[in-house]
Amino acid sequence: MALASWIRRSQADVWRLCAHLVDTAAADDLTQEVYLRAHTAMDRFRGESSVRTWLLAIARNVCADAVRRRQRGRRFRAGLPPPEPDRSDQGRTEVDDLLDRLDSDRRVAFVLTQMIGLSYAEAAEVCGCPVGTIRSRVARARADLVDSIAAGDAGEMTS
Amino acid sequence: MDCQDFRVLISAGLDGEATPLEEAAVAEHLATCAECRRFEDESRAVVTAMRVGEAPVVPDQTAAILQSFDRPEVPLRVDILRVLVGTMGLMRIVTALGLFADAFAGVSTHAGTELAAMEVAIGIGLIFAAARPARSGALVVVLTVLALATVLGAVADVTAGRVDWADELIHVVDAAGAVLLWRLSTRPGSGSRRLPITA
Repeated sequence: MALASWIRRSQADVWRLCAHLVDTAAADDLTQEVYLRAHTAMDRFRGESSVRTWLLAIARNVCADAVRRRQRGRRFRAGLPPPEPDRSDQGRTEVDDLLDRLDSDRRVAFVLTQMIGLSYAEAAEVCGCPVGTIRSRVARARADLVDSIAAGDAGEMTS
Repeated sequence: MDCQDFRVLISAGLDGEATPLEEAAVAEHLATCAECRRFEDESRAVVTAMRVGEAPVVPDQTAAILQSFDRPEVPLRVDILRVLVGTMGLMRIVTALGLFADAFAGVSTHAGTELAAMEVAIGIGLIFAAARPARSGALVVVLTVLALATVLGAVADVTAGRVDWADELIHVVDAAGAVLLWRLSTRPGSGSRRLPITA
């Protein structure tokens, strides 16, 4: 069945995007939410973009909503110190830690191009911005990551 | 152009997204700028490390996803269009029952029974369309042609004086039903779940 094989082929990209933009523990549920939204929006898809970028744009919105929900949750606990992000398990890797420190726009651009493997043009479609913006966000993300790692190394050297 | 600008080009070059002109400019700059050379090396190393570091197993959720499509997210709301179409179906069946009653009473011709049978069929078809809008395509065609034909026939009969126009008003209602059904079947969301891609 065409729909099932499309889901099977495309879900890895969606899952990885959700895992990197939010976290690995939430990726399963977020992926399902993405496909549910895609399913209801399918009638309105007119082919102005590729199905892949259309689907990932939906995924990006789902992730942005999830992050916003979490931030709202944190604000309710105002007055208490912000909880440390849970680093215990849940498949958190160094990669996730590094990505976490990036500004969200840069993180999205970086993950889309470096980990999902989209071209700058495709990433621009997903983000709804010009290609030049993707270019600068990816470059800034690289610079920030290099700086993070350098700072981490410097910290290790002095400890 | 300062180093900041060059680094954007260097980054693009690492992804194969720089034009030949830009690559040439970068090469020229790197020949003299050690800082930017270091940026290029470190950028390359960082991304390689990150790609190597990430290898989570992606679970296959195809079955669960497909199942979630069939589950209605909200309970069935009262949908005016479907209620109207369903009601028109009921009206037709009531008309048909009247016609059948005439037939039993011996008051009508065979044509009357045939008409009754057709009215029952259309009535049931309309109720079915109200329940399953996605499967109503063919019925729309049938009812539209029927409505057109009966309206034209009624106009002819009325102008020829064979029939009083008041008696033919019911056909206007039928035509309205055809329009409602058309709206229901072409409403976004009532189409079958097609993929927006070919094969």
